[in-house]
Amino acid sequence: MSDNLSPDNDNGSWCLIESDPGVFTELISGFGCVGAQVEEIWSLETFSHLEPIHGLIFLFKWVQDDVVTGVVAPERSDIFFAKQVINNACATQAILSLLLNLKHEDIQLGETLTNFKQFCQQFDPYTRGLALSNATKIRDVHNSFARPTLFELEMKQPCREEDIYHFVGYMPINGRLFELDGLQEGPIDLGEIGSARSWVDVVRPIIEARIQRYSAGEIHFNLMALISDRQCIYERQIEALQKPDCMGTTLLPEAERLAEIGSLQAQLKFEVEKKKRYHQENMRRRHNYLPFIVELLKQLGQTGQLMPIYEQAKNHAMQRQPDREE
Amino acid sequence: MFGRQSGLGSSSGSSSNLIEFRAGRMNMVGKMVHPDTRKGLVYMTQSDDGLMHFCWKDRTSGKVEDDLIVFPDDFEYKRVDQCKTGRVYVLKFKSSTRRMFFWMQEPKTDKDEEHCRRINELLNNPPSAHQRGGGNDNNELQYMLNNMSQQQLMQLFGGVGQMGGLSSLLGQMNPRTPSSRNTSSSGGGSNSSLQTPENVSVPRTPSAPKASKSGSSRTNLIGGNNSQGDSAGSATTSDAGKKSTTSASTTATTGPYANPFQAYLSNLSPEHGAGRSLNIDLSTALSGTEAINQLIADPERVKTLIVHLPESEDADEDRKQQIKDHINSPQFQQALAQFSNALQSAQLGPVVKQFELSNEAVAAAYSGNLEDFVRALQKSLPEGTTMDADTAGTKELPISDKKADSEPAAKEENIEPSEKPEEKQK
Repeated sequence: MSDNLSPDNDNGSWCLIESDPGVFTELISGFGCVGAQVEEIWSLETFSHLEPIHGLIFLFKWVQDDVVTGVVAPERSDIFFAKQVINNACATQAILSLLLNLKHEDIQLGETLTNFKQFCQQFDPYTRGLALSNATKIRDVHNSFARPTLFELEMKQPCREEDIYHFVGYMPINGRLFELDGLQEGPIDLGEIGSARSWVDVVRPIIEARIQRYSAGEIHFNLMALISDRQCIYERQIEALQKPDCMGTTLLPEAERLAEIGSLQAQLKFEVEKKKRYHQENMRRRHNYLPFIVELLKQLGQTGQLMPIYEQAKNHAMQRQPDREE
Repeated sequence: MFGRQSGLGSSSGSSSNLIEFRAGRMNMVGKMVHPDTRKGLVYMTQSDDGLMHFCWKDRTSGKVEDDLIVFPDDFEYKRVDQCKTGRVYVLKFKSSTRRMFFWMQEPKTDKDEEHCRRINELLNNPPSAHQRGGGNDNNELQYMLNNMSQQQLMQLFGGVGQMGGLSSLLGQMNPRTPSSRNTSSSGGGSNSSLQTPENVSVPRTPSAPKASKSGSSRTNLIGGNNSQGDSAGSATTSDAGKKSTTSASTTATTGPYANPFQAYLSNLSPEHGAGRSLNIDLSTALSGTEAINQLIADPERVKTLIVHLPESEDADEDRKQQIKDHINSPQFQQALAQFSNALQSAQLGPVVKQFELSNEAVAAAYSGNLEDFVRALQKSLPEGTTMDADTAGTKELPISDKKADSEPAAKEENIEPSEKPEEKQK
């Protein structure tokens, strides 16, 4: 793992990690937090199937002209806000900005995060940011998702795309909608939610406005939702249905009940497989493929197949050439 | 358009100097430095193979006395402040204590600073070569922008709320979502048809020599202009599909990227120090091929391959399928693309050397010739030269840990003419 750190500052540097729901989901459990999951959202219209949604992480290109959409709230003891001190820690900071403000029965923060939160409770936002940058356990988990350095010469090339992206969190806290952006001075109060609507309905136009702005400039963005662990939810629901004497599910006719159980089991299976896939992907992200590559190329060479592959790759490259000159 | 296109469009890359100025050399005598009174010329060129050369020649005799091949981040060129009387500059070798001193012989001093800046840019941010009849528009644009003065840049960006003539160009760019790194474009926004090659390594943006922390004044200027226009955001290509590594950067600021336009510049050039006209990415031809199937049909080969893959948590998992899955995975593809790119940049000599390949293959890696490398691997290898897990495992570590040792070694070899005859013959 230590190979992920730049030798220049091997006392506490944060590596860039990929913005991927699989990475984020395992990152969270790596922190010791249980019961949460991150899903990518494609459409703001229908995500009722993901509820309860605890927060949204919006990723976009950081631009200097970004318009502040609300008032920076004066410091409140019921909001944990930390300023972003380290650029590369962006992803973790975004997730923590949501997790550390969350009080939901589905989610247990775990020891590491709870300790961190308590430790920083009395600090000002900037000091909290510093504390995070020095939080060894949290940092180590974060860095464990970085790509291994295949060869040291490549280390000179920075990961430009992550440099440019910025994360902002949105979540409801005590009846109001807040924007949590570590580059701002404090949480931004976006207004009261009210009892008549869900917080997602309130945030939707705000996010859409942002998306509009960036689409006009052809900026790319991603929207991720922090939700409860779907596997747990489905298991609970199946369990409830399998015990018809509890709750109000006795009203369901037998056929419907079995159909519902079947459907839930299918979704459960999907979630379990998704987790397995995330795990595999993360394993591959961490793996240093260099020895495998060399061995593979060697063997393809031995069987005489490497040259044709090379030729084909060369053709691809030549075909790509005219595109670059557009 | 901006009057500084002397280097552009010329297809014979090695004869046009990217920068030159009159300067004399200094000779070290013991610990003192004495000027060599001869009239000289400091200049930098890029040879056809993409390597940057820092040279000094005697203007009277025409003889080139110094010709150093320079790699990014190996050198720094700066003014010697202790010399109050003269205009003295030093080329510092970062990996050793070697120094070369020069004194300006240009009659006017007004361009001294600019020359210094430009040398550092070229040392650390070599341009992509302008081949195939002048290179493509993006490279030229970057080159021009790199060379512009602040005044010219201001003109370029125009007034408040607009990016001047560049806004149409910026519209052509190819932003990608961060999570589309592995898959095709996702989320909102669109993927324009202009795709930057997947294994883009990004050259440094033109700023102060040690560009890691401070933006140059030009950076701030651009940032300032951008604050007005919302098209500022369009200046960036996210390039999430890019396969560079997560290492500490030399140009990326430690804070948020203050200048989207810098991001545009840095994402334009497709190759790192590339003199090669074609960047061949082996990963584009590898997945799903019959070749892989044939390979894994042989259980012995499966055995030798599988040791280099992470252990599967599923004990039942079919090893053949495992190998195929890995090869088809985006993570592997990116690693292979990185490997292809790095090999062609002539950077992998010392790395490849550690893998017990034939001398020819190693030589090909040193010279950055992928075709030769492939050919060398196709020649039948002596029995028993496949790697075993133990040696492979230990070999990984020296790559990262001994960076300081292996790098200068590579450079020394590159510089010695006898080791690389093919490079001198242009």
